[in-house]
Amino acid sequence: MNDKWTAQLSAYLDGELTADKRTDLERHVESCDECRTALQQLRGVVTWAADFEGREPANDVWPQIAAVIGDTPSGVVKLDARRRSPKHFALSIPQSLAAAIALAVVGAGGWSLARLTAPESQMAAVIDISAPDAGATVMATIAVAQKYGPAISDLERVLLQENGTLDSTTVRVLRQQLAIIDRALTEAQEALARDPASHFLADHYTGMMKKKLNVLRQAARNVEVSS
Amino acid sequence: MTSLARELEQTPAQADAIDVDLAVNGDTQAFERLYRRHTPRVNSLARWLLSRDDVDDVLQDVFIRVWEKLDTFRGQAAFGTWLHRLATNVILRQRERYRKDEKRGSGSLLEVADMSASPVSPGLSIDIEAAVDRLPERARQVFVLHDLEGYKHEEIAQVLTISVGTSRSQLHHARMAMRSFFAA
Ligand SMILES: [Zn+2]
Repeated sequence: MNDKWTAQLSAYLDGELTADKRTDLERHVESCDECRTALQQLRGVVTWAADFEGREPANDVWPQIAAVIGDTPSGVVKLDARRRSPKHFALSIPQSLAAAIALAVVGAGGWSLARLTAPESQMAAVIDISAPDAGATVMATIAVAQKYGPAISDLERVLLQENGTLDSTTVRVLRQQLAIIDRALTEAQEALARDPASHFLADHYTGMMKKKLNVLRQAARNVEVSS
Repeated sequence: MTSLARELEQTPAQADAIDVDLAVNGDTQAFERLYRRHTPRVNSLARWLLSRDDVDDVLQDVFIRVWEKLDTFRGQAAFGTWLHRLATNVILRQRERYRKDEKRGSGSLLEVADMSASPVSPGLSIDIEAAVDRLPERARQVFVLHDLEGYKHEEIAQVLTISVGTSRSQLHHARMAMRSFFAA
């Protein structure tokens, strides 16, 4: 094992040997079981390292980071502060819109959707709605959230739990997919805040809620099939 | 991977690109998603390069720095690559601060070779990670920088102030100590 060839195996794997040395080593490895075994094992080490995805830290330091970068986890998100282009949304809507939606009616002139909160996130948003037709679309949006919300929450809780029935890759992909849908929901919500009377936006929002539920249902069916 | 996973597949790189775009424009939720996706690797990096278990401060420093510099990322490389380079720079700069109060002793190559010859739970990454923990400091740093982070020996020599030859031999020793975890 401790022959002069062993020391060259790493360099060989990394493609660092000259052509001559490479040929010599390959010739030797063909006839030496020990070097062949070592080479394959070393390849295993290198592959493991390249694919290693890391391990979660003992403590989640996101709250400290959020505090520094100016996230407003419990405050009101300023609508104008971040509205730099139509593509970028401003409202912070919780992952699952479902849980608790409280509607406050202020004054005679319009509606104010005062708090949009969910248990896993204490985000709050204030939407000022003064368009004449606003009440109806906002109510419709809330009805949609109430209709689909509980089923979405339940499925999310079951499917995304640690050590659940889904394999980790599927959970990861599912989370990504849900994140995209959540983003679209957030965008729709923000657009509605600017244009509360838009039926198109209300429909879009409804469509995304349905899509989210469908994705989760599909995942649930997948669990039933595979288990 | 299940069929569902394939159907829903969006590569982490694609998700990163979207979230970087959002985060540059001030979306802290998008930035949190980037944080969640990349924290595990940065955590392991910090832990191994600094020989410490408690790396909370370092993780905060890294991601606050990423937030501050996000607008300098131009998509010339994968976001992950850019972030890990930045993280490694921050971590390596912290080494001086932590050197004086090492929290976790290093092991020896023999000890690691022993661990790898008789893993507690064969085939599990956690055993291999424990072995990386126990590599002697120099071998561990070189291994992490080269095989996990893709640094070249010349770069490692520079950041660790060692010779290129030392970097090469330390890498080989580290890999040889860990090789028995892997089937031939
Ligand atoms: Zn041989």
